Amino acid sequence: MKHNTFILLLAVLIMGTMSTLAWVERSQSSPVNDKDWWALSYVSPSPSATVFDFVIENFSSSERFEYRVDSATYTASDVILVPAGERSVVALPDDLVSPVTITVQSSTDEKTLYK
Amino acid sequence: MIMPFLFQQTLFYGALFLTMVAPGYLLILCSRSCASLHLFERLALSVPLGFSLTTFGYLFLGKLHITLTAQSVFLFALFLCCILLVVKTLRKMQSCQHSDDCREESRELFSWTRLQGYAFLLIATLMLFVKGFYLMNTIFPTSTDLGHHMFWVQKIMTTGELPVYEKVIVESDAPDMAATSPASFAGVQSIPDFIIGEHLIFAGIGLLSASDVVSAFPSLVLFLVHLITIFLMVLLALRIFSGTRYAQSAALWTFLFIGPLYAISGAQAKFVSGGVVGNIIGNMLIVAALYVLYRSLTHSCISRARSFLMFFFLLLFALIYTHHLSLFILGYVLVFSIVLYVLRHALRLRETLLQWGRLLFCAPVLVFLALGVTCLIAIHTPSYLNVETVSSATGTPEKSTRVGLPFAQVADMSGSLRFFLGALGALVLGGALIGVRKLPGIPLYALCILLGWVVGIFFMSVAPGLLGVNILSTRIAAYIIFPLALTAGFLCAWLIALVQSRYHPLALHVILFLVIVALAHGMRDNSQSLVSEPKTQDAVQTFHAADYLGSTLPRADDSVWSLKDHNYIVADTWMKVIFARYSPQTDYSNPLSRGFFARYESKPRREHCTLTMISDPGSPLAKTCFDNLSVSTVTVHTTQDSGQFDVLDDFVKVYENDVVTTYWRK
Repeated sequence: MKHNTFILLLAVLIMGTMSTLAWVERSQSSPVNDKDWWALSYVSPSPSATVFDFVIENFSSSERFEYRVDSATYTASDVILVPAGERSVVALPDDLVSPVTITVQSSTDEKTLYK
Repeated sequence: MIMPFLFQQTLFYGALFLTMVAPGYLLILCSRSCASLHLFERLALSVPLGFSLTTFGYLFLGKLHITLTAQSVFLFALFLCCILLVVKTLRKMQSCQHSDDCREESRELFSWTRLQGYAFLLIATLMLFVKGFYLMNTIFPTSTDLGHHMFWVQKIMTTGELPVYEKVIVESDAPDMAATSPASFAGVQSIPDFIIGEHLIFAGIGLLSASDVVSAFPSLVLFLVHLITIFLMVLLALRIFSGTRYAQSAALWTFLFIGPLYAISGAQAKFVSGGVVGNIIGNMLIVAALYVLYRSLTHSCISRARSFLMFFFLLLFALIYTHHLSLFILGYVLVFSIVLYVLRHALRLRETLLQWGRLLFCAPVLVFLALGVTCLIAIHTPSYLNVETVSSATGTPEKSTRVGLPFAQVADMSGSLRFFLGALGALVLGGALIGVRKLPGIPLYALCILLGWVVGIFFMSVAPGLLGVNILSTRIAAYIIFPLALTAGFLCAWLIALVQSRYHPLALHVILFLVIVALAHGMRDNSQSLVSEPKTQDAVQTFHAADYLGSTLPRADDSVWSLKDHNYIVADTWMKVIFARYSPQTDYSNPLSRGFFARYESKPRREHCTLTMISDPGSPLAKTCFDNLSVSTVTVHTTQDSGQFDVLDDFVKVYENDVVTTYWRK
């Protein structure tokens, strides 16, 4: 076998292995691939912020989320559809007064935020 | 999805080429040693040399206050390559009388039979399969050590400046009663464990390829460095035994022992994914340095020998800027080799010294050395080069983990069969050194370097007290696999050649027996080192939480600190890497961490604030700690530690996913 062919073959083997590993890591790090979770967070998390808008980021198979907002002066509940791999911001009225509790329920579990 | 991936891969390989391959290859083409190197040798050597040039280049850019950005590192790579190309074109290669001999020797050495060529490819494929299979489950970045290193890489990429290796430290206000005492920030402490050469190359590749630090790219760079180390080992074996008729066989056996067999444990694939950056790069630089040193000492043409010596010094200075332990190991190996050579050559010491003097004392080598020393003094002094750090690594071992390992443990760590064969090989070579048995074709320099390498590291691992080594013994022992693979490879090739030369009817049986036993034992070790599928779902959620926190924390006020738990959160170390992506000023200690519970018991004087602030956040002590340390956010495991925060009015809950929850203190 010629040396150049030999070295080229070796380089292809090495690059093939490295690219396969990169592909594996890429699929592992994808929040959607083979994953089943979702996250709930405030748009403005600082306790001093008077904005209570919140975000649902969905990486699970369930798309239907039921939320409920409870405060001394305001109560609301609704259902929101968030497709897998997407995020949805729920805007709340500006005049809410702390403490405000937000409870979101999916088909499998429930998460809560409060401030 | 496939097109962005291919584009990213193209950028990544382009960045590797520009930072690690092209500068090194062009440097070799500019040097007089070029004609003495086969294409395979040039390519393998180009990586450590390219690494060294790029690291020094970035140091100069930093010193000139040129910000490291994608544009500046790209222009620098182009500039460096152009300069080297111009030098190569302008320089009239002075031909020495041995030019044709060198080419002929290289040609013969690399004229492998078809069977040997296929054996090489088979071993290479097996090696890539075994290491690749292990890395498939560990390539996802969760390792704590890699996270610590990648913080600095991200910091360089975010700021474009050379980092200052410092961190804010937290100390108990009353260390004698640390468990009940609050803690405060006690100033800034330098971190000698991190060395700039470990990080610059990653920053350069990351900037050029626009790769995210929290991805596979750091491990892939380490993987490539590790593979190059293995190929350099094969080339070293080929050169060391080039005077024998079993040179190719010894190289193949060495490849088998360092490539696919025992391929995971020790300083191999496990260190690649574990992020033991200094060890992996250090091993490459050690092997490359010994290779060029051997070529320098044994080359018949003085100008080429000097050229190889200059490569040796370049790699040595790169090692100084990359890893202190590897430098320490190389220093001891050289001392052992020199002592062996001087003892064996005592009667012709004057002649030896004259030969070394002729090599060393010439204008180009001395100028090169002076440049290196000037760089160390004036451009950038590695953080570990101070009396305190050096004295802490030398002298009488202070801890039980530094007093040396039992013989059996060293053998077990190295792969017992590889250790046994390697030790036997070293004994045979030792016999040749003292004249018990002649080994025609193996130069004295080869014997001394091989034996100095094995014996030096062995004694440093088993009896460090005798040599004044005060370093963790297991870390030293991890280095012995490389010389052992060489001596084991030699033994197998030598035995087979011995049996074949006598036309013994059992020759084929001996070869088959050795191959089967080695394969069975080495692959068994590999199978025992495999790990189960990673918990990527948990790590992905940790990264998501860190990204949310990093992007929403107020940037104007650097005094805002975060706290997280290290006991239950997966890949928590990478939170600071993500913080560094958003904030150039973030400290290495941010977020503060509740360490492993056992650490607070084993070190009673250690501050307990980080423990109390998560375990009992409502206590008066925790409240004082929160105030003293300006901790605003706390990230804990959703099911393990949320309960104690949910009952308190002091905190608001701002983020929650399945495994991680973040609270913000009012």
